[in-house]
Amino acid sequence: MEQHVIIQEGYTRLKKTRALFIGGLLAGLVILIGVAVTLGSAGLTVGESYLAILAGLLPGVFSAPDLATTIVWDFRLHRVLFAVCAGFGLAVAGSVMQGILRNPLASPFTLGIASAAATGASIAIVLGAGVVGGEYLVIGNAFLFSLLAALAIYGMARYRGIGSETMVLAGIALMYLFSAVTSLLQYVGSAEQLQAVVFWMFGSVDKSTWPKLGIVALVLACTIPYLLYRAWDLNALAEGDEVAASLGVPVERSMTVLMMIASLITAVIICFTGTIGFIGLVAPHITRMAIGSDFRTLLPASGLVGALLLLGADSIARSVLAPQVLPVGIVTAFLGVPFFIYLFLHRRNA
Amino acid sequence: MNRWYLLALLLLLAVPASAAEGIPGDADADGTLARAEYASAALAYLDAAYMNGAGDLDRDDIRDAAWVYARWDGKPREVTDSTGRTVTLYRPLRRVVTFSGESLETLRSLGFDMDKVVAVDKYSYEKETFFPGYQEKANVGSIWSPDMEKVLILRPDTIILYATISTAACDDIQKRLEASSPGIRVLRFDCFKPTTYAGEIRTIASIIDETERGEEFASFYGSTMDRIRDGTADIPDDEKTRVYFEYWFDYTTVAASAGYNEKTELAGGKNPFATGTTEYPVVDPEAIIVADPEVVVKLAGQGLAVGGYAGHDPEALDAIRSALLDRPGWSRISAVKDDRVHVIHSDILGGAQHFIGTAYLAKWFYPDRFSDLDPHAIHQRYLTGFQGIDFDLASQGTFVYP
Amino acid sequence: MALISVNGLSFAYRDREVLSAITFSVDAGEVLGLVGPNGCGKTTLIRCIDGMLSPNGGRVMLDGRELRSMHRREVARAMAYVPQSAGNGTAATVFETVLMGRRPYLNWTVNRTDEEKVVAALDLLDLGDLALRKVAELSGGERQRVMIARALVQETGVILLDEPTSNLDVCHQMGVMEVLRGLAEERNLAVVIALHDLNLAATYCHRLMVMKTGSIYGYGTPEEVLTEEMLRSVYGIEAVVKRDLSAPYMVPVRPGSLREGA
Repeated sequence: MEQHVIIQEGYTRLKKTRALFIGGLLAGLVILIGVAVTLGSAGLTVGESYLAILAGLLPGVFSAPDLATTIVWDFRLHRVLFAVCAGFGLAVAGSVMQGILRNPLASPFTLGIASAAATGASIAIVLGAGVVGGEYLVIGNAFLFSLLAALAIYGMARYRGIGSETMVLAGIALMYLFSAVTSLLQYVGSAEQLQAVVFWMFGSVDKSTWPKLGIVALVLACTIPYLLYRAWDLNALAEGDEVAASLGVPVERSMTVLMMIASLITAVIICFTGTIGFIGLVAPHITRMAIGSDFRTLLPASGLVGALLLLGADSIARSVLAPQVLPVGIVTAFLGVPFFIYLFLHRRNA
Repeated sequence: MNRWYLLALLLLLAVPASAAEGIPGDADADGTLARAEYASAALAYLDAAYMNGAGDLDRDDIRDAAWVYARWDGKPREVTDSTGRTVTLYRPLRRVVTFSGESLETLRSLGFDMDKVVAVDKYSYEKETFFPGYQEKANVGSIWSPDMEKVLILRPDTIILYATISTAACDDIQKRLEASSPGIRVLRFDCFKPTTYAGEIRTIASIIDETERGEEFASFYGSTMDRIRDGTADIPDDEKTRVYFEYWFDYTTVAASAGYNEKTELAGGKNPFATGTTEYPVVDPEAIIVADPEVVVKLAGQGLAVGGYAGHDPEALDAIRSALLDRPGWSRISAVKDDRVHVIHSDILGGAQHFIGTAYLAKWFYPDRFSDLDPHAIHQRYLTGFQGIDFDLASQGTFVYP
Repeated sequence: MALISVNGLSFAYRDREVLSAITFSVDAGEVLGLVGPNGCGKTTLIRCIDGMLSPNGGRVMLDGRELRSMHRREVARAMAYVPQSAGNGTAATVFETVLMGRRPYLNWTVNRTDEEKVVAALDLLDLGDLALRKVAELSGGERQRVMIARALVQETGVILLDEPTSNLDVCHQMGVMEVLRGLAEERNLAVVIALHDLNLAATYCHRLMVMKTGSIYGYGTPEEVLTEEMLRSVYGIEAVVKRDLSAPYMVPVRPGSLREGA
């Protein structure tokens, strides 16, 4: 009996640690947002920035110089919030993919989805061809091609049997295919177009606008609750396809639906930002090392870690080479380096 | 929904702040500033400034009104930029931000008061020898990575962007600025294309009210280009000088719509690799020997490379030339045998100074036809007479070799 | 009363026939041992019973109902499965891994009863000290016990196990088999267990089914099934079967040594 109590107390403590971790992340994120809105080359003081925010929210009560209000509301605020949503979404999508494929190195990149988006964007930029015209040409193409890749993986897996191995293999094949097409388009295009494609592939939060933020937030608001609802199935799938099936999880259907959702979230984010790497890989990994792999807490926690990482990276990107704004995808790529070195040094078994 | 409310609010706030779309002082808003309107606006300003009266026009408004009245005959000026868009100017240019070095240079050639340029792009900012003192202006980044906040706090009234290149990036900058600064004017000019530059010179001159100077510069530019065109117009295709033009990178030539190809052809050169749609194709080294060009031109100047306005470094260009001569099999090429291998810096062949570079090309391709063409003198006159900088070609900068 | 009843089951993978015409039944309270050499189809048979594989022919009946007609969730509450290999383990703790067995009954949050059942199962499998360790850090044998504990908390009427003792040392092997036999009898469960160790099977199983290349070779009590004839025919080995203890046991002998002495 003694031992029973110890065990149960231990589990309760584990749950508390997780709750604290999430609380800490949330607090950290709020603080970081608070700092990020004050960064920028307009030379606004911290007070002026906050006053401008308040003036926008409650114009009757607060007033601020309209230049400050314009800068904060037209340029900074939606960018900061977009980085938060994008980081959150990419991390959650990454954690779902890693759970389903039982591969801690799975991410939107290793599944070819990001490469497909780059190809879609290249086609729009170099050939001027796409589904939606005008300013949404590149965005529409990138989104469409991401989904195409997800469908291709599903199709290939279905043909050979849906299982984690087939999906990973299919993903790698797609990644190479789309990279090759992108390279060809880069070669064929003019110097101008090449520059545009390369810039798109760096990944940046520069082009965020309030409507784009709205779209991403809407998609997240619809999908995240569902993913949380399915958290136990994700936990079960992590134990293996057979075990999950014997526990009552409709394995094939679940894998398909969850993969599609993760792909959708990824697609809707990277069609606006370009290919931002490593968030979907690093954030869930770090979170899992900290609080284990129960998806009920892993999903929100890795989302928060992803938001912190991306917002942090973007803040660095805006400050380190001022007045130049470094594309955030470059900063996150550097993130990957210490992470992999750490993994390399701490690996006990292959 | 909060966002829409805000946007409406911002627009309302912005209107009086940036001075409405209309000529300052045009009290009856009929689109013309009559003498009487100007007079009463001036008096109202003096009254408000010195006699504690009430008035909503400030000093800048009155100065602009004076300009409009005196130079524009009281009417707003309509200009068409290089994208074909018509922009109505209710005030002269007072605070300009240029995102392209070419338009900045053109403004200087036309005698614009460069103190009115409040910010430049980062590449111009870094050119300390060509734009001395401009480091005190603000640096707004590049077209692909613009510092929008910086642009906004400078409160510019005019922005100049490219018209036909980097269109996606330029359109994006234009859209964002017009959304947050409703009174701002965005003008799109390339200022580097042989086909459009002459017209752009005159258009910009009319915008800044320097028509005389504009004509002077336009004819200076035009006469050089016309001389080249006329001098090569009657050469039949099979008698044209065969030219191999090598880009910054080894074995990469120019073709199709690349600007350097256009200029080579303008100077009467025949580029055997001009076919195809790739702008900078990589060629097989053997093909160069087979084509046996009569003149070889190598482009110098990428990034941190030497020469140009950055430094006086003929040895470096000589080294580039020697490296070309040492290539295997090149001793058989006519250009090498006749000693017609030249190095030219992109500073005078790309950009707004392309007429100087093209003049050099023409002289190299047809030395007899253009024996009286003196690109060096043209270059010096451009620098001293139009750009107004203290730069002596004899001792500073290296642009061609030999 | 037969809890599981298999009739004429056959399964082919691509064009290779893996199981043919398997017919048997397991009663509640009975432990059935599946024995046979590698590749005889034990794993495939277990997977067919659990519904993970669809047989080409024949039926599986669970408590009188056709397995095919049952919803996944119902099957999960009726049958638990312990796989052969434990894999590399996940980053989850032992407690949480065993907790997964409650999935057919769980709401989104875990309540007190679920936790208590997990603790009880951990106790039964002697895993109490390891409860909060990560599964990936455990040895192969410990991981196997974790998976058995998970099957126990699933509270099903049927438990299917695929070689659950292969990595265990002797005392844990016997411990696990004791638990399984005890549970089968106390809680009236039907247990189907694929085993390598013939003696272990003979000691603890009520009945044995011997399989050879996809068909049933022998089916009955250990006394009936474990014969030298069977060992020679199915396994191709020489052995002596002794019957001087409560259950028969076989002693393998080196070929040729039988002739030299008794």
